[in-house]
Formats: sequence, structure tokens, C-alpha cells
Amino acid sequence: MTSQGPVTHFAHVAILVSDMEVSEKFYKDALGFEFDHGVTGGEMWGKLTELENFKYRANFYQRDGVMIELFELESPEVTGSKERRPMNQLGFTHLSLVVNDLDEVLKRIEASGGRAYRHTMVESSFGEILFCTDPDGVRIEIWRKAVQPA
Amino acid sequence: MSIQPTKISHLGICVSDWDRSLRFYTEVLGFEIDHFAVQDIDAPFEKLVEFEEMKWRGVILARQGFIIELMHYEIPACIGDGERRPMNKLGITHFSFHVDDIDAMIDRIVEYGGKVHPQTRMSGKHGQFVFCTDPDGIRLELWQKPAA
Repeated sequence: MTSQGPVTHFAHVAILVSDMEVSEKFYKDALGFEFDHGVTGGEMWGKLTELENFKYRANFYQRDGVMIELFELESPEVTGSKERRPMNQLGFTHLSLVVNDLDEVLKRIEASGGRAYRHTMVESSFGEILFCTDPDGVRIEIWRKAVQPA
Repeated sequence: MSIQPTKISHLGICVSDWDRSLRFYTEVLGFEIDHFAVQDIDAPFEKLVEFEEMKWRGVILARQGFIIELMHYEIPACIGDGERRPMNKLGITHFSFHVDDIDAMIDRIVEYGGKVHPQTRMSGKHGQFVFCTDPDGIRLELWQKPAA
């Protein structure tokens, strides 16, 4: 066992989506993830997920060494409002990405089923930062870093 | 110039008890402290996070190139019940980690303020799985692959 404890390595972050085609387009075209592999499955996962009649389809995507799993459910039905969560709500709050061309990324986000909340834009010594959401309301922080003096 | 994001920055997590969660993510999950974010930076983050007033602190943690940000708010107070979200609720559902020794990991999670949900434990050809939760109810999937 290492000093880092019993975890050997990070596997993935999973995101439940309402429409795989829409979300795949968003994560690939707007955010630049690449398809890794897909799985379909069934009720063997019902025990783990504590959901009866669990039937799902999942696709895994990677970028910068980070693996995400997008999954959709055939059953049971999904729940959730698709609204962005308040930032003081406990748990996962947002996924943050660094960009060069802010306007183009926002355009792609909006063209791929996401939303850009331009009123949240702040400018600081860190650069420009604003919140967007994916097609199901997951907060995506977009950050154009300030140009560092040479 | 890239027309897509150039790089993933981090995944943000809101925590109710700063010390407890910092210990949990470093000592149980093996993240290392990269740097602390301070309150008095120049950015008007109230605008970004859509709060009128805000008092918070944050820390950036890294492990194997994966970066997370723990955030704790004093103003406004943190909300949420600390219960695990149902797996059919839209959005980010869980973190998944590979482990060598699932029982040792469960003991450690419980010792540091997390929970194990033993009724979720299952095994199949891909190995053993169980859901645990961090001190604020974030689902942690533990996955021990079958011995080679």
C-alpha cells in the first residue's frame, strides 16, 4: 500500500444524460472529448445503483487524461430539472475548462445544446471566467487565462 | 488558436466541513494539495457564482493529473442534505476509483467520515463494485478488478 492509501488510480467521472446523441455532440464538438468505448448493460447493475429494472447505455470519452462516462437510461426514467445547481449546494458543482478562443467556444456550446450565462462573466487578473451548462444543466466553467507578461 | 477548450482545468466540489473533507480527499483518496485559493483575490466571484455576497475558501488538489477544487462557503451557507443522489438523477452522478483492496478502502472511508452502502456491493466478471459516499454524500464507486 502506498502513502496515497488504498486507491490505485482514478477511473472516471460519470454524468447521466437525457439524450446521448445531444450530449455526445456537446462533449465532443464543444468541449473536445474523444470517444473511447461504449457499453450497454442491464440488470446486473441494479444492485449497485439501487434502481430496479436498470437498463443503460454508456459511452466513455477522454481528454487530457481525464475519462468521463456519459450514460443514458432506458429504464427507470430519469429525474432532475436540467437547471444549474446553486454553487453553494453540497457535492459536485462544476467542470472547469481552459480555452483560448472564448467566443468560438461559447458559440459551439450554444450550437450543441448547452447554454452560456454571459451575465456571470468576470474579468480579473486570472483572466475571463463564466459559467455555461451542458444540455442537462451540469455547470461548465469556461476560463480564458490572462495573457502572462513575457 | 484552438477553437475547443485547450485543457481540462478541474472538477469543483462543495463541502460542508472544510477540515473533514480536506482530510478525506488527501488521506483516503490520495489527492495532494496543489494550492489554496484565498478570499481576497481581485476577481468579483460573486458575479460568477450568482451570489450577492460571498465568503468562501477553496483548495486545488491533484492526483495523477486529475484536479479537483474543494470549496466551502460561509456566506451564503452551504445547502443540501448530504444524502447520495439517486443514480437516475440527471447530471454528475459519481466518481469512480480503482482499488487493490476494496475492504481496506471501505474501512478507511468510514474512518474518515464517509459511508459505505453495503447493500450495493456486487461482483461480476469485471470484478467487485460498491458505492460509498464522501462526507457530503458524493457517490464514490470502488472497483476492484479480478486478480489476474
